[in-house]
Parts: sequence; C-alpha cells; structure tokens
Amino acid sequence: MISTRAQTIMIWWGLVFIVIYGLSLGFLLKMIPLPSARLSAAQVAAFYTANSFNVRLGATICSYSSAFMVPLAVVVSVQMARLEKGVPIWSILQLAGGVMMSLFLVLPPIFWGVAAYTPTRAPEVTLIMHELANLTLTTTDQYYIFQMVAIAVIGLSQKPEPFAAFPRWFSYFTIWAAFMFEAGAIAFLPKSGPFAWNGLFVFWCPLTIFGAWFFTMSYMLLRAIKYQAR
Amino acid sequence: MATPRRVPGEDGIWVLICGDMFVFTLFFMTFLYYRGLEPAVFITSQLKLNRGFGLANTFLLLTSSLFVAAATQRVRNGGANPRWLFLAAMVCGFGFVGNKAVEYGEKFHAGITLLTNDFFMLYFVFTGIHLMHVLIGLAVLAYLQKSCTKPNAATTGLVWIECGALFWHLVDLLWVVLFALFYLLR
Repeated sequence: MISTRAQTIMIWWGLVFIVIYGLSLGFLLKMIPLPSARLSAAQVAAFYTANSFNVRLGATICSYSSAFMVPLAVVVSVQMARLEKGVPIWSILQLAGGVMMSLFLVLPPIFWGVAAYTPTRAPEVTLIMHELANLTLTTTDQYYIFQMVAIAVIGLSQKPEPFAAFPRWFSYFTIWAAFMFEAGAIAFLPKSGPFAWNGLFVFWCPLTIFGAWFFTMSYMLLRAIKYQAR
Repeated sequence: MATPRRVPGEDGIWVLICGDMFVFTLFFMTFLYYRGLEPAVFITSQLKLNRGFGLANTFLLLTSSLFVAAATQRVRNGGANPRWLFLAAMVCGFGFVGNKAVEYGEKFHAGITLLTNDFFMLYFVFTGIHLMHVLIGLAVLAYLQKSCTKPNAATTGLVWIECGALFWHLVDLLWVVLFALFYLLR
C-alpha cells in the first residue's frame, strides 16, 4: 500500500518550487536568457557588482527550491515501480537521473551566488565562476535523458488504460523531449549563435520543452494518483 | 469489400514524429536565417562539401526506406521473409553511418571543424543530431527484424512494426531536406 496523499504532496512540492525556481532565475538572477558568452570579464564583473544583492537572494531561493525535485523524482519512480516486475531497474534509473537533475539545478545558483558574493575581486576570477555556472546549467541535460528514457520504456511497455500515469502518447512525447535535449552539451564549443549557452537550441528549446514536459508529467501523475486513491 | 482506413502505427508515435518535424523545421529556418546573414560564407563553405557523399547517403536512405516499406507490407499480408528486407534496410543504414564517418573524417583531415564558421557549425550539429537519429533508427530496425518473425507479427505485433517503420521513414525524410539545404541550395 502506497500513500496517495504523500505522493500528491510531494508532487505539489515539486510543482510549486519549480515555479519559484523559474521566477527567481528570471527576475532575481536575471539568467533567462543567460547573458551573452561574448561579454568581457569587466562587463561580467560589473553585472555582479550592480546586482550583487539580487543575485545572492536569487541564489538562496533557487538553491533551496531545487532540492524539491528529489521528492518528485521519488513519486515518479514509485509510480513506475508499480508497473515493473521484479527488480524495478527502470524506476531506479529514473530516480538516479532525477537526483542528478536536482544536483545540476542546485549547482548553477550556487556558482552565481559565489560570483556575486565578492564582486570586487579581480574580474577574471568572477568570470570563471560565471562561466562555470552557465556551462553547468546548459551542458548537463544528459541526466534528464536517463529519466526520460526510463519513463518512455515503462510507458510503452504498458497496454492503454484509463488514467495511466504514463500514457503511451506521453511516452512518445518524452522520447521527443529527450531528442531535443541532445544539443545541450554543444554549448562548450561556440560563444554565439544557436548553440551558444544563450542560443535557441541550447537555452530556449530545452527550457520550454523541459517546462512543458515537467508540467504535463505532473498533471498525469496527479490524475493517476487521484484515480488510484478511489 | 474495402477495409476502413486507419492511421498507421498508433496515435502516440505521431506526437514524436510531428514534434521531431517541428524541431527540424526550426533547424532549417535557423540555417536559412544564418545563410541570409552571410551568403558568401555559406556558398564558399558549401563548395567544400562533397556532393558525392551526400548523394550516396540519400540513395542509401531512400533505398532502405523502400526495403522497410516492402517489409512492413509483407508482414501485414503474411508475405515471405520480411526479415531479409529489414536486414537489407539495416545494411543501407550502416552504409550511411560509415559514409558519414568517412565524410566527417575527410573534413577534420582538411582542418574543417564545427568552429570553422557558422556554416560548418550548423552542418556538423544538424547532421550529427540526424546521425544520432539514424543510430537509434538502426536499433529500432534491429528490433523489427527480430519481432517480424514472431507468430503475432501480423496481428498484435503489427502496431510496433508500423511505428518502427514510421520512425525510419522520418529519419529518411529529414535527411532529404538536410541534403537539399546543405549540399544543393545555391
């Protein structure tokens, strides 16, 4: 017997805190989109000097809220494990990917926070922390892909049923999202254009597709859990 | 008596296919946008691509798609040896991968990388992502050549075979547009 109430609470934690994370990323850290990779060390340092308090406040909120991806990943795995026989290997893979996702959401705000912590230091030192933060955010998509592959496998191995947590169409949607996340790691190479860290295929596409995927999955889970509680 | 028309595969696979086509449309528009910004760079860079490789790969994928379509038809009608047709499609697919590896190697050997200019950045990334699709498609075909021999292939297994075949046709279709944009557009 699994507590449907506990699962519902954990999903809502994830939902509420991902929204807080996104708002804080955009309005406090001002990292939607990330600033151009062609800025000089002096320009980057000037940004952190001018926005020191906001960035540190944003870092506080974002680093706190990213932890709430862990309970959500647990619920996803619990719902997957219901559908697996024997050792639930795909559920475990999903959980491992979800825990890493939380880690890679917490690291960039910490690095931005460090950059803003003492912005009066030599600009090159601030620049390296800024670059570390931005590249950590954009080049770690592969862990999300592990989650997505596992979810797709479980979803596609099921027969259609009403109120499924992972309906078949959602599995195909998930495969598509995983395809779209492939381009992230390219951000190490160019400093401008669609594959730079603020580019269309490295920043905007993963951001919007992740958002759409995340909220769709949460909705499906809430619906399925409500049905299971009956 | 005519059987009722039916969408091949299952509804969900079309989410993936339409989603992927949407993204590649974004790729194509990006290419055309950057081409508009630097027409001279794009035209001189395009001349460095070997059209022979591109054309050979187009033939390989179109032929493999034909094999896959014929194989699916045979599974549906209970025809003989669909498995050999899937295997033939896989041989074409591996030919594509090998050809692409030689082509990339030739470019790297000539000192051309994805940092050379915007044309080659787009060329390597888009064809690279497409190559990833080909590799996944080959894994799908490997599954199809196995599952098409099962007793339920023409009944309950058919939906999987159709989904896999659709994905392979998508890979083929996307390549045809990539080929036209990168190798042919003047």
